[in-house]
Amino acid sequence: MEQQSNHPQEHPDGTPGGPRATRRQVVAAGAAAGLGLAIAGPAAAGTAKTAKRTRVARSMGGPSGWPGAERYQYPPNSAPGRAVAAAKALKGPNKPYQLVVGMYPGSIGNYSTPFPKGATPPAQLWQQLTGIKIKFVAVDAAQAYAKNTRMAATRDGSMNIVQLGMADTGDLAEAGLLRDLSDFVGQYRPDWNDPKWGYLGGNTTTQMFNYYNGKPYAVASDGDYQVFVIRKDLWDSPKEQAAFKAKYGYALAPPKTWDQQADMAEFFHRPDQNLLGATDLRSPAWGWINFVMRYTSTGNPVAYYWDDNMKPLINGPGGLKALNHMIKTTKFGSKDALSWVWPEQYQNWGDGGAAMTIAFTNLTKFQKKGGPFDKSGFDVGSKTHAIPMPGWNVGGKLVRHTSLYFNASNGVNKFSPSKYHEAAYLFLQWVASGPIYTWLTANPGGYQDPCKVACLTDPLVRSSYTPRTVDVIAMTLPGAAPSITALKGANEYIQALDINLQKALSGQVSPQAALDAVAKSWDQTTNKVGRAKQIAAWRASKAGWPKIADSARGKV
Amino acid sequence: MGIATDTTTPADGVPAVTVLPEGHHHRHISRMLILPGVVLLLLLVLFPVVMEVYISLTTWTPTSGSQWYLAYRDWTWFSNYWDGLTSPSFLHALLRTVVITIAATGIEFLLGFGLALLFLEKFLGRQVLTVLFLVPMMIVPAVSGFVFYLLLQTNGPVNYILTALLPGTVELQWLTNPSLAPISVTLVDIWQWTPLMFLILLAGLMAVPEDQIQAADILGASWYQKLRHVVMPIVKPIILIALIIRGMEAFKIFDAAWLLTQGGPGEVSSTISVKLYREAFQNSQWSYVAALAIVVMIIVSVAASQAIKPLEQRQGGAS
Repeated sequence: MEQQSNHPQEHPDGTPGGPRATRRQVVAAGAAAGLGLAIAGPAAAGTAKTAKRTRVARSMGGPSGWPGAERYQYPPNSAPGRAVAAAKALKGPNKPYQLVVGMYPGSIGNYSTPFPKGATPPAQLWQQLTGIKIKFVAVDAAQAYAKNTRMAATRDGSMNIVQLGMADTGDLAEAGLLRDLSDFVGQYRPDWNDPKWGYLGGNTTTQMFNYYNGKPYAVASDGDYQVFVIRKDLWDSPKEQAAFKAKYGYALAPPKTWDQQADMAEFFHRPDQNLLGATDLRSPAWGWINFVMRYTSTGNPVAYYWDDNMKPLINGPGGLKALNHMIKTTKFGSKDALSWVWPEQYQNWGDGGAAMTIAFTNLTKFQKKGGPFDKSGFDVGSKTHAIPMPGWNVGGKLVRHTSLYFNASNGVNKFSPSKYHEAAYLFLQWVASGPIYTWLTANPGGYQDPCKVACLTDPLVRSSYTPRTVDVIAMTLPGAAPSITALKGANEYIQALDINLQKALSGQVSPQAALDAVAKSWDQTTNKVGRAKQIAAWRASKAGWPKIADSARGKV
Repeated sequence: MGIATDTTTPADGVPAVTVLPEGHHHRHISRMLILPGVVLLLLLVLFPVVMEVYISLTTWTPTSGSQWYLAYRDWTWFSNYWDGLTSPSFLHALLRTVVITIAATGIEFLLGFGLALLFLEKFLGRQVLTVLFLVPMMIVPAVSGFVFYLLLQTNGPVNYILTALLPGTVELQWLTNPSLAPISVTLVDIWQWTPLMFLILLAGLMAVPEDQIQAADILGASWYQKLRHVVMPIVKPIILIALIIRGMEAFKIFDAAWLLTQGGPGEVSSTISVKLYREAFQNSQWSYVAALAIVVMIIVSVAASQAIKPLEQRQGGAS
């Protein structure tokens, strides 16, 4: 078959989740894919443009009827193929007429908007393939945790599938809302760890995304990684380069360390010219992740939040270094840095109002010429250049980690009729499979971001997020450090960190006092949840932590 | 009227019949008629209160994995209450809320009463202005919170206007300066709810009998004497009710604090409602929140009952 090389790999060992790709393999595959696309991309796009409407090959499943659809097709013996076949084969009382899926409003478009124009939307395609209708119920992302806990409290089974933030997995699993998916994962073998179709970062990412206490409870459907972007026109300016070198004694280049980032933030901070040095967020609920990335890079290969006995490490020298850097650079952002959230940040970037920032990968997706943030016509999209997250030199070695937060996942609601759990899981396996997820991500109708290896080579995804950003994602995601997740009470830990960072950033307390307060609060939470139980979960979650100090080393 | 029975004398073999007096019969029927309503009300009020008290004595949360009625398995007596009453974060939130409530209600009263006095007199455009003054109260708090979030940015219109009026450039960080953030929250409450105070007090002032004012005029009373000796004694109960209603509402302030600052930076503008919201819906500490909510309810109830005492005394004196 012509598209054979694109087909999902079958798992030869038959183990749940298939063969585990090492980070090295995934990074290599991603980088090679990026390079390959740079050469083959135009040709592929041309082919797609001129291709006649294709029909799905006899044995292939997936979307069809539009040019390029073959990229998202799959053979029967693949993760999406098995999911469809099993759902189709469900009989009698085990086959639901419809599945009710709770979902963030911004994600529903990925499933229900025809893409490309005229194509059958994914949810409708699932219905055609299996006979099971999908009904979406919008659940506000900001209220999803509260709603999910209420559903757990009342044993509400009205939704077959619930959507949750990655940090909520531990709480909702303990609450009994999320069904343990181990049996289905064993039986239907999703492609989560497949080197070609699985998550970027392989099994480490799978563990970080979908597992709590060693068991799969969720199926991730997002890639809320943080990406560092600079205004390349400023860095390319000979005048700026000369002035920077004269002032700081070294060449102006994309910052590799947080110290360099501080110098450059100071250098470019020119409020009188409507240019801010750096606008990575500092506000409640949004700013703490920027501390996390500074903090996790203070250890080689990574700085953990706790030791193996859940003693907080956050108030050690690493935490202090990270927080001091945040405080130092806050003055190079907006005067309202402590209240700015992403709409202000994205609009400021769209107006060319900052030299650098840190944001979700969709920043480059939305910052296009004539796009929603190009109100001033500055066309920052053509000047935006993604680079790996800066880091720290630890013992002479550069350590760099990006991170991610929110990150939508889906879980099977344990309180929904148990006879439909299988169908619900099969739908999740299908939509999270490499081919279908890549198709969903390319769809601009929703805000799901790339998290699969296959997304890196997809021309639609690359075009949407810009090839440079996708290449940086490929380089840095395998080394991403988890935010606080996979623990019961994760939100409470985050809350304590968030509030005390705010206190330090606004000068109410010293950095050390703030971090000591975080540590004390974390200890209280750990004791409340149960130290032994929490230690076990924390140790299990370490499977989702990076083992390498800098996954972008040698690539930029 | 006391209860008395009227027993008929047996005559021609007819047994004696006890006839209840008319008043007793009516009371019995009326009790029976209101019984379903009382039962319903008790269920509606009592059930949540009993449930809340029950949960507050446990460590149950939705993330415990068991249903709420099995919370007794996590029985902990009064530890949630103790944790709350010894938590600096809770006590600071409580104190902060009291300060905001007193400041907001006090200023709203002064402004509302002043405006109400002005609007007693007839003048051109009074009706239109009355409607305009009431507009803030009609705006959804979430919307007004968002509008003020934009207005109070450092580069926003408020600082722009202050810069135009004052020497130098005004760059007050209304939302991120720890000293200004609680003031901003209070200001938004004042802006939004002064109209309610104005409306209640205006209604009270308009109810003052005209003949008493005229009598005071004839006796040569000054404006202040009329206000103090004629108007105030009459509108005092209205003022008290307005203060109690507004005070209780201000104590629950949430929208402005959450939308402007999310209680921050840190916790400097975290009111009691923000604190409870965080603990309940972000930290899932439902039993802890239940205990805190009961503490708050007791405090508000005691404060309200003390505040309402003058009214009761007045009523007692009048009857």
